[in-house]
Amino acid sequence: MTGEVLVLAESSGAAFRKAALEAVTEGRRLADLLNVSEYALAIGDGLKDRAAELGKYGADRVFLADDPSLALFQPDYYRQIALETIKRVNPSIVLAAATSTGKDLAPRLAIHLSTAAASECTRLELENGKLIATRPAYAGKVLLIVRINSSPSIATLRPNVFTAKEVVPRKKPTVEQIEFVRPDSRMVVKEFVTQGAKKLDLTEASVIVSGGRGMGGPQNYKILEELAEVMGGVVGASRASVDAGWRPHSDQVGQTGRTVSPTLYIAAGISGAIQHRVGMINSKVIVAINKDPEAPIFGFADYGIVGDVFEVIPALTREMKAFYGKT
Amino acid sequence: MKALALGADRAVHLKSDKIPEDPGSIARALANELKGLEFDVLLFGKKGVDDDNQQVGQMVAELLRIPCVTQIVKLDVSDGKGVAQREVEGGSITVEATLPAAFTAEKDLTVPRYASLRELVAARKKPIVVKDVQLPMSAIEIVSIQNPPPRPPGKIVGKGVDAVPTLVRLLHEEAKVI
Repeated sequence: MTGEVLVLAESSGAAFRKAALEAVTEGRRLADLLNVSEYALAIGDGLKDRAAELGKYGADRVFLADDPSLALFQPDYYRQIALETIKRVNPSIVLAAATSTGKDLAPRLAIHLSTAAASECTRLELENGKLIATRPAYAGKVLLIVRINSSPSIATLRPNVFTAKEVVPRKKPTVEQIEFVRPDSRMVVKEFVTQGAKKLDLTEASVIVSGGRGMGGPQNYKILEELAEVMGGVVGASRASVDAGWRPHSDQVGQTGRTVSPTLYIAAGISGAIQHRVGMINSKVIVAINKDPEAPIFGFADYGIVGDVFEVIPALTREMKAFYGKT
Repeated sequence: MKALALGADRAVHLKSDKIPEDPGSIARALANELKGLEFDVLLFGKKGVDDDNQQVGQMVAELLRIPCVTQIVKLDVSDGKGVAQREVEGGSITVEATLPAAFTAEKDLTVPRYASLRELVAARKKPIVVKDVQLPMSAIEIVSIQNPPPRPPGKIVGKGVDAVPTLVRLLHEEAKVI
């Protein structure tokens, strides 16, 4: 008999991550194809009033582990709760977002359950009830189509690739509280330090404005921050500018940095080296601004402007302000 | 050889009978080899740059039942504890793990230096033990390998600030992303 679909719905603060809602939406789709129910597991702190929200995206039932010690990802705690829930529900598919938490946790679950996890999937299908996942490898140069032959099949979903969609009519899920008994652990999660005032992470942002060597120095990123703010986006960076010490590594887009897939990626003063390309090629639309008409980035950008970033970016900020009706 | 030149005292090469497709089987082979060894810190890179799975480090730790902190950018080891900073969405988390423990490195953990000629020569005398291992059956298999869909050719909207209004119009009307 086919088991249910279980989605690990990750939260941050007392709210679900966008990537978690994307996973719940995709889980609903798979559950419908298999004609089974979708369960969600929410682990965090202060989620009691929010857990039912997952019904909007298709969850029939929500398991909730809510405890102050679960506010931040603690591998031993999260693994225990997930394993207990999986053993109880016996799902055929387990999904999570490919965030730092999901990518840490999924392999731990796979090894305990003697099954496998497909990382950073960009597409999921079913074939004779088995999960077939598409996932980029070799830094995005190829797509691997993989089949998981054991149950449950585990997959992490690359953020911003799947779309979070509300179901009509929305589900009114039953929310079941899980009693959490803290297991012995040799890990202590000390503190979370936020990076500046950044609201969104690169991997979750729908607009990214990235700067490269052409920005000339750290002080010049201000114009990118202004543009990003007008558009509700965040600022990224190329490896050259991170290696130069202009921006922190957490801002780096590319093979040794983050892999991003925003709706709109604006590359300012970035040449488009292969190692940068692989980190952002899955963006829906790429805009390049570079004074060098021969820059490789124009070879794969959807729209390009040949020009000086210090003139074009401020002009773009003004135009976007006008567009969004801001002054 | 490079690892030996950069400071490792001995190396073991687990030579598998087939190309591993399942990170779980790699982890089992490694854990099997490490089981009898005494160590305080087990360091991994966060992921291989071929399969991009990002799974083996934490799997080995689970099999050995030791703590594992992934994606770390900083590590201090003292008094039987490893204090690591891991990079996460929107910031970083500090985690203290009792040793022995495993850690998987993010790019900025250290800057790999170049080995000196003397170290390279010395490395040739250090032992590399080759062991044949049979990998267990894969729970995951590669069905096919495809090229990513090509991006349709883009267009140069124009030169300099004069092109900006056209760009905004195209993003709105044609690409429909704003």
